[in-house]
Amino acid sequence: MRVACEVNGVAVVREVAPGATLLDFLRYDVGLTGSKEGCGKGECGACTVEVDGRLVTSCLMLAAQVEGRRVRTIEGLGEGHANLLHPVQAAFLECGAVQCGFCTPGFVMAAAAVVDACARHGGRAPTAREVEEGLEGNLCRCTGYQKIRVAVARGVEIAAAECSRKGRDGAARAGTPRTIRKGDAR
Amino acid sequence: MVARVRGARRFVAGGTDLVVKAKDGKLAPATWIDVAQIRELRGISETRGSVVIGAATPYTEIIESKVVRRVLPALVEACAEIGSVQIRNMGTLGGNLANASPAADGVVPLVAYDAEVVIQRGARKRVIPAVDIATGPGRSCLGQDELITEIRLAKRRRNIAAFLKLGPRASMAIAKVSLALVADLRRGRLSDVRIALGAVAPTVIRATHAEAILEGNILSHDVIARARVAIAESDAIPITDFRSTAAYRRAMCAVLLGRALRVNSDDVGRSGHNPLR
Repeated sequence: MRVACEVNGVAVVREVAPGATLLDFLRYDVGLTGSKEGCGKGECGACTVEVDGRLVTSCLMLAAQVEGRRVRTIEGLGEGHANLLHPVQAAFLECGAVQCGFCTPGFVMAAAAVVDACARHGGRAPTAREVEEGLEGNLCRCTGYQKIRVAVARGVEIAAAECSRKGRDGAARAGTPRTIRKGDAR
Repeated sequence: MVARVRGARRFVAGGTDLVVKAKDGKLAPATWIDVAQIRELRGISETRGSVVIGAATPYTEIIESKVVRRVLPALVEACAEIGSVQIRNMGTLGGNLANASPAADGVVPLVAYDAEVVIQRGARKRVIPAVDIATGPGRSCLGQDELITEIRLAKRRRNIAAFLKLGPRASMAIAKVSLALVADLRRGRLSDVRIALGAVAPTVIRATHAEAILEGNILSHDVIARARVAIAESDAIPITDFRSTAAYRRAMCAVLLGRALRVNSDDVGRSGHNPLR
């Protein structure tokens, strides 16, 4: 069957087997291998992606179920951010919140949702419980949880800094055309 | 439209149970019909006397709903206990009911709130109490092409509501025992008591013996003690399996009932407090 959707801002149309999962579709049909298959049962979160802005385990969603919807994967997460890294990706690097790395794409997707939610609330720090609940669907077999928790908090700080920088740049950009227009002999 | 699909067919919403079962080879081959994005099956509405939840509304939307938080706090607590963020963004109450697990976290509060489930097949509609949807472990009263479309919950004056669950860990855990309790407590006396139990019988059940002891009575130590005995010895009919033992499950029914009543009697009307988390 034919599935048409948007993956990381790009329109994608592929022929897929009716029983194919979203994860298989992304990895084998679209060629985005960042999302991983751990348990294949929605327990480990290694396959976490966003569909219409909500986190899902792509191993439990069928490819056909994303028809007409927006999918965002780890490959598209950094879009629009400094160095093409989402603040939480920058934080994972800075904090060394990676051991073997297999769970990392899923953890980053879940952590990014926590960071983005905090950014929407004015960049306030998440509570320990909010971090834990945000990451409850992800397992790290290396048990590297402590650094991951630290990285989420750091990601919120980086996001807040990025937000205020964008605010300043945005104000500067907004001012520039006005000046130009004034100088324009219109 | 459904009738045009030839051969065996099956509805799927969040897929969090069905896809796992399919991968394990536990489902007969069928054409799956995705209902997750059907607008008429999604959303929460409030009338003067009731709250109506679309069967394909994901748990996250139920948890975030101001109406549900105000009117049905035990349902919010239960939905918040389900799976993980990812699972709650996918899973639905309609799916939880149709899956007919005796341990279904979402069904336990529905039974306590006397929810009515609307089932449709084409233009034909029937309304079944939530407690009667499951007929055994994994078996439901749903016939061929019957789809759960909405869940109706009557608003009633009740100031205590709790959902408590025991599992091996806080997330992604199937309940060993779960309990929902709703009631109205005025001047120490309980009325309109409903207690539902998960994972201690072939389906989610009402704890009618314990309810009868509590109903209309002053919430005294003696009444609580008798209700605890009744729920463990008369209401619960658990089995021993790889998740827990029958004896532990019976004992924990009493413990959870005691906790639900203590939480609520110490702190009447304030929900969202779950001592197990």
